[in-house]
Amino acid sequence: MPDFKKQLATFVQMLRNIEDEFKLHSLTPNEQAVFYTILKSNDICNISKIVDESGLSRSTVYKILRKLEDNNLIEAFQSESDKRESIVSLKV
Amino acid sequence: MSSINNLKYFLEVSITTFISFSLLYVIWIFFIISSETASGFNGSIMYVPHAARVLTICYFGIAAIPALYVAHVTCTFLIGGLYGLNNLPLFDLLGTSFLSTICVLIALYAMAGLGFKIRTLPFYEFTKDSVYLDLRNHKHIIMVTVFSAAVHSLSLYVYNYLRAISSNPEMFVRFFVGDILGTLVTIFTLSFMLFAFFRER
Repeated sequence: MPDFKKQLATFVQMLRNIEDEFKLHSLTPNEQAVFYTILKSNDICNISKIVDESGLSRSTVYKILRKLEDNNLIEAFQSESDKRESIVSLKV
Repeated sequence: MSSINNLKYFLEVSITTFISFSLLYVIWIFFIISSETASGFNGSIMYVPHAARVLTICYFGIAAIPALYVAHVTCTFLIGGLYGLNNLPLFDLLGTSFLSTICVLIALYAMAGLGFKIRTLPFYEFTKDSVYLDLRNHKHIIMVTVFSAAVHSLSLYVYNYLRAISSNPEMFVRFFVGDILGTLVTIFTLSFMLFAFFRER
């Protein structure tokens, strides 16, 4: 006898797959995590903070930031206090 | 302990099935049928309650059938009768409701014969060559929808012909197209609703 909640979860998964197939959302879960970390930091945010809060590796975060920048969602610039550090902020 | 779990599962499935079918029937009556009756009703071109049949039997198995049958008879008799959609005698209402209820089951067994099997239903044999229908894949659900719509429209056409209720082939086409369109609209609407209201932001 199958489990009721498990079957419902399977059904929701099927609906989510339709979302994915028809690209109802444009950002992947990792991209969303990075985007929301920047969003939560109100104004500007450094990359170390994104790495810490999103739980993603530094290289993945860099890749995602590049994509978000290409999509015109964020802008990245050098920190004035520390030239080695990049700062990102939302453009939307 | 196992029988208590089975009973709990049966009750959960029955309540979900009854509510989902009734809800879709009411939506169908209010939003769709009002635009169709003007040209004379000969089978709906978008029968959304078929989605409840397909989804409940696919996901919950044969445990959904009693509630589906009761929901079918109750909705057709009470709500459909109220809107003049049920002109059938009680015997034919029970007969057509039974065929409509088991059409998905027949379709699934027919598909099992072709090698496509579903884990929620007991099938006579599982071989290593069996292709399992993935309930997380909407394309497999759509395939079941098309098969069940074919079985449903054909069985009802034959029943109506034999009982001298109707021999109009247009009804067969409208039932077939209506079941497929209704199920697709329901599934995609649910998916859009999931995205719009429940996706974590």
